[in-house]
Amino acid sequence: MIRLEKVTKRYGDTVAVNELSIEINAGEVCVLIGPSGCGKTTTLRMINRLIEPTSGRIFVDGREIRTAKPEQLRRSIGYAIQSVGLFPHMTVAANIAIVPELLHWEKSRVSRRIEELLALVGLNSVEHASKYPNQLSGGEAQRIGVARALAADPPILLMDEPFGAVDPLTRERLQAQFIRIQQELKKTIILVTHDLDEAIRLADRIAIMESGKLVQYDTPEAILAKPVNKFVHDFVGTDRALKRLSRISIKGIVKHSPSVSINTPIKEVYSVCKQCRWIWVVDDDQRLIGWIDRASLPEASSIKEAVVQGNPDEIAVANSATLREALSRMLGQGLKSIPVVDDIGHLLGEVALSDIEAATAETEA
Amino acid sequence: MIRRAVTGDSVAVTGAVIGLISFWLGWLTLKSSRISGGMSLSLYEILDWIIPSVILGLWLICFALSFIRKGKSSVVVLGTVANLILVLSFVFTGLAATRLLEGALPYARVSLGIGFWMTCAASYIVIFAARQRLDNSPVWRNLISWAGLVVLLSLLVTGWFKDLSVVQEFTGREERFVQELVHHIFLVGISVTVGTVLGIMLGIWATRSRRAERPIFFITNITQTIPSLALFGLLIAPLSALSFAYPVLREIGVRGVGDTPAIIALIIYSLLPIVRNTYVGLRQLDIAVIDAGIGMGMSRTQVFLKIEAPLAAPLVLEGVRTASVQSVGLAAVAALIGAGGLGWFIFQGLGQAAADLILLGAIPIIILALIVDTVMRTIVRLATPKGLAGGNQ
Repeated sequence: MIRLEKVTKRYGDTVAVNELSIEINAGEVCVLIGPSGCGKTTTLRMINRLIEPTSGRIFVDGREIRTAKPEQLRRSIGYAIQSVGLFPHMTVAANIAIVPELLHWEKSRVSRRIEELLALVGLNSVEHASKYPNQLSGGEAQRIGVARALAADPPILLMDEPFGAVDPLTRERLQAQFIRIQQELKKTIILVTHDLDEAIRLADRIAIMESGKLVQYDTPEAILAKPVNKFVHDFVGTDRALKRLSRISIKGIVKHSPSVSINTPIKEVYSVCKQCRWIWVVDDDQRLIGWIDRASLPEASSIKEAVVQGNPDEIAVANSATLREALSRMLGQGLKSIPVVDDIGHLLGEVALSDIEAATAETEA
Repeated sequence: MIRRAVTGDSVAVTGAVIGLISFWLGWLTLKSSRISGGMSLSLYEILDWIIPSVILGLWLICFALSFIRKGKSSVVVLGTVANLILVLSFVFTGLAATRLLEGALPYARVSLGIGFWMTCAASYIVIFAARQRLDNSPVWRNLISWAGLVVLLSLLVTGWFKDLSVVQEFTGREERFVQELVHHIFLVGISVTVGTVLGIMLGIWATRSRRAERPIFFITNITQTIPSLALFGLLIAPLSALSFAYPVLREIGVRGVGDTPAIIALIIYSLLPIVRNTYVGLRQLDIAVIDAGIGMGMSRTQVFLKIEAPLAAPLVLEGVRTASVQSVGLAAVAALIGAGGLGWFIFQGLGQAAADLILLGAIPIIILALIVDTVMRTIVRLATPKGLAGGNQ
């Protein structure tokens, strides 16, 4: 899909990118990573001709990009950047409509597309379409940035630290959403980041760069298992085994867990689970609201009295989380198991520490 | 609690105090002729106590209202009372002037004194304070700012002030006044228009080219520091030389004196604020916004028209506002080199030591500047894109 052949970019005497050759398969996420100044952003920007290479050739879909007009090329490649760069004087809808309008789409088609994209990135179209960028939170702005890049349904997406400027919790959610969208759309994506965890989580292949050169280009598993040299070894760090956990979703090991509704008569709690020490408590809507400790039951007259309430964001993990997140939450809070909820807080089950151990053992094998 | 009770709106309090003091000073001067000295009289000395004490009472209300910091209604009342004081001061002064001239000699003149001017200034201080606090309701703000002036102008038209010397100066020169007023507006209009076009072009050039940036700002900054009188004078020699060398130029009106040097000087003065604001307006734009635009496939022209121009527009227009208000004042000096305009009355008045003639030129210039300022502020507000938080007012 995208092929770089001995691409070099020089600025005076300094070489930003040095004879870089790489091939990115259609439908894959390729993450360019490396220390700052390694040439990853320069490489990205050469693909849509924001920077012209000093020498070498770049092919998109078998066609050398120099043969197309830069504007035409860029309109067929989605582009999302860390600082988002939403146009402050335009509404969310107008921002998303930029490329479709450059391509002279019909009005009705553009507005249909805006609705589709807002739904895709999980925003309410009626509420958000007429907002201005300064009315959005950081996470919302990033999502609009991604929606804007996807507007004309380009087969290729270039993303420069798209989740860099948001808080860790929001970044986590945006990454989960990115994975979901990519499973649906199967775009060819080149993503620049300096966050190794992000790379391991999102990439089909990781390209590690060092001072303008490509050092290793492989799947995250292979890079974690067999770093080609000391640079990569040091770069991925000594916690490689732990990092591998972020490649695995908890979905496979969520199991049913006993729960009671808040309005259940207290006598019936015993019948739900005879030997459990903890029981999750949900409301009438099956949303997790806390837990009860068996030890406190004899003193309480109702579940309402015995329940220890908690914010689902703090006491549970989302079902889009990875083993690593679940593990770190359990270790952090000293739990043997943690409840799993969906996007709107419905209790789905729980993940146990022992199951994570088992899953880790499997991947090691 | 106690501290809150005593902290008033300090600007409004100052205005009210000045108003209360100025009430006791001389409001009118009766002179035996236009240029002779005269006797200063305060309002209550001419009109007895009953009528003027209305103004005194209104000032006390203003003073009291200055201490109420909460609520829109109290601010609106404060502004309204200040406007009322302004109008009443004029009305009573007109009345007093008529009273003074009853039975006076035909050449006798009544001019306005310090007490009157201070009262006007004080009421505007209070109006200004009220206006500041009405930022959220533009309708009230404009009403408070302009109501008094509009009433005064209509009173002027109906002849209420016919016995005041300024108005007497006017009645003798109605035709000339209209002619110079129109000419003043013409001078300002043409030079600000040309200055805007030229200034925006130079501003864009300065952002695009590092080489051009320094000389452009060097020249516009330097010219701004030349005293206006000197610049007008400096243009006389080269322009007369030009018009002698090329008679064609003379035929289209280019001469050493008159409109041409005046317009050129006014253009030069209007350049700096416009060039500077255009430059800053374009330079302050977020690089990421432009990068995103280019990265999505916008052409250079599209980036300029769709992103840079609308985002820089408020600041550029703010520069045009500064330039036009400044030009209204500077154009007065143009009368010195024969370009006419309202400055003509000022220089005539200076020459004849007739203060009222000076006022006939100066007051309309102030009013004109205020009108231009308000109109331009409205334009800036309309041009500010909705998504820009706290855009320029």
